[in-house]
Amino acid sequence: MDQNLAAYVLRRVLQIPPLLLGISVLTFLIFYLSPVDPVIAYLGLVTVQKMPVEDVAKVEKQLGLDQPAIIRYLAWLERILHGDWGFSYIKKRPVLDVILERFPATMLLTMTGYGLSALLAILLALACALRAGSRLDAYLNGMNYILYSTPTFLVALLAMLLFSVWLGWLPSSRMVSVAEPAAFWPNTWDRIRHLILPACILAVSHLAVFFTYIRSSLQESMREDYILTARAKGLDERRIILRHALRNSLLPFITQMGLTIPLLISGSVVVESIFAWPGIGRLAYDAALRADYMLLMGLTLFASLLVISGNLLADVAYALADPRVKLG
Amino acid sequence: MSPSNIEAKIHHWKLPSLGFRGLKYITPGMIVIASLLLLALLAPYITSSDPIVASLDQSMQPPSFQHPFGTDHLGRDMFSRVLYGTRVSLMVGICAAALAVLLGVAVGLLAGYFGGLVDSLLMRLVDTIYSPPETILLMVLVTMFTRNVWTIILAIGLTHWMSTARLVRSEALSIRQRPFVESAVSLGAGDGYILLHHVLPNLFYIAVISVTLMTAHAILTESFLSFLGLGIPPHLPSWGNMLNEAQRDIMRGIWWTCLFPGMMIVITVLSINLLGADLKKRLAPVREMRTQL
Repeated sequence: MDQNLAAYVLRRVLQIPPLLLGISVLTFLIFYLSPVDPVIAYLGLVTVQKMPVEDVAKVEKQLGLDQPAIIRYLAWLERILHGDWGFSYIKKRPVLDVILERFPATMLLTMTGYGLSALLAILLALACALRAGSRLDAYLNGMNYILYSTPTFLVALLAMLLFSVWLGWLPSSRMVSVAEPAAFWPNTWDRIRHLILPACILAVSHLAVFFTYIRSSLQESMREDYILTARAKGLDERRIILRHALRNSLLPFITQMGLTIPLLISGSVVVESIFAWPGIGRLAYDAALRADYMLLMGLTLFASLLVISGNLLADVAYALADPRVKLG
Repeated sequence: MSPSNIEAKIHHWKLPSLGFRGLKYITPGMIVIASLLLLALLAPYITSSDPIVASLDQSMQPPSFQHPFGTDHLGRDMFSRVLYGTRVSLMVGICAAALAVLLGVAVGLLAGYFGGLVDSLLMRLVDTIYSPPETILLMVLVTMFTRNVWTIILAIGLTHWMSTARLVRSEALSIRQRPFVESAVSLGAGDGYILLHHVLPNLFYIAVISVTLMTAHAILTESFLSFLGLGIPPHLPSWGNMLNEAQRDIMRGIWWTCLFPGMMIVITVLSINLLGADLKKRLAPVREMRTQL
């Protein structure tokens, strides 16, 4: 790794701690300002209702609720840093354990959906560029506007109606069948069948954003001087688009992919809650519906970490791909 | 020449005239939005069915002459519910967007105009609130505070002002350095005067475009929250709430409870987005600005 890159990465990493501190303050403040009783948040409503009053007072003292906000914040931050993210009362387990256990399922779903979406967006944008100004271009653009204005959950519901209920081709919920096949290949096939519908819907929900971005970036590249040079040399249009324009428009797309991670998480909340996919999106939905405050706070922190590290990775990848960045 | 004389020579708050040529979506978009507003206002005169009162013997009827959109599991007329849903969805969308853009313009203006410490502090705040995915932040907010139409508007507004703030800030930064501001300063104009008479009018187009596009986004967000059962209280007819209830019907192959409210969301959001896209073409002076908005 050369020195410039190292310096760039270091500069970029140094921006993160203040951001994390800000997020922790924000999370704590929301919790602190909300009318939610912290004892209930820690133990769950039912437990507190059954507890004698003096025990509740004891817990309050134990949690340091008689202390001023700043002391409480620092104590909370210390626990967070030691990996004690609180206790989820709907799962009856520590928050961090629950989140980490659910994370791989979300990764599988989102990465599949993300990959599909990027691939499809690039292909469609290429089709538009190759037939610029044609009817195909106009249709795809129009479809894109409609897709952009359609909520993901509506696409999911209609797809479920069509493929699971009417056609009966694909399962409509969970990650594996209730009677999970034991042998390796049937089991893998079962998992793939469960993955198809949610992953495709996640892909479709992302398609509009990605397509718009690549298409406009491709159009931008087509106006560059080097394209004019290539045309002047007599290269054919297909080669110009594939070899010259596309490669240069995919560069900023790396950053774009990093920036859309929040969208990815939103998408996974919708898709996972509809398809009962056991990931962190479904977890957030359950936590919100059943008011598991500790779990919600943990998920906020975890999702922020994901977003920040995703942006960092995208920036570093971009610096690796485009040598101009790290000098700037 | 005192600042008030200058003022007389500049036409403040004047939008560039909306030349409709080449912008094919402005007129249809406005017509659709106007008719949606009319439908929302005139709902009680258009349909006589009550959107809330259940009549179980009418439950789950497919679309017919009497019930053009069918009935839901409680026998409520879907047409009437969809119509009344327009009220809730449009109100939440417009109010939340207005709140978000007001906040965004205020923060961006302060940060961009005053710069220095104010700028760094406000922009760090923006970065911080930007980091958690907005969905998660919204879910936390609506879970922790009581849920009604106003808190939903507040929650959506408070989580969506950051992009406008960033845009307004960068625009305000560049306006502050332009010659007409310099000349106003040299003539003795104060900060308040310059902000109100020179900077703000030049940012007006950002606010107009942002409010339009943000309304579409806020309607989607509201329907998303209500769909999850975390938005508008379930007894009120909102499109998201209807789709939440339609989720159960899907497994029984019933399509009308999901299709009609869904269609309304798409039509509304699509026409607002198309209108926004054309406004952007007309009002945003620089190409670069259009991609950012």
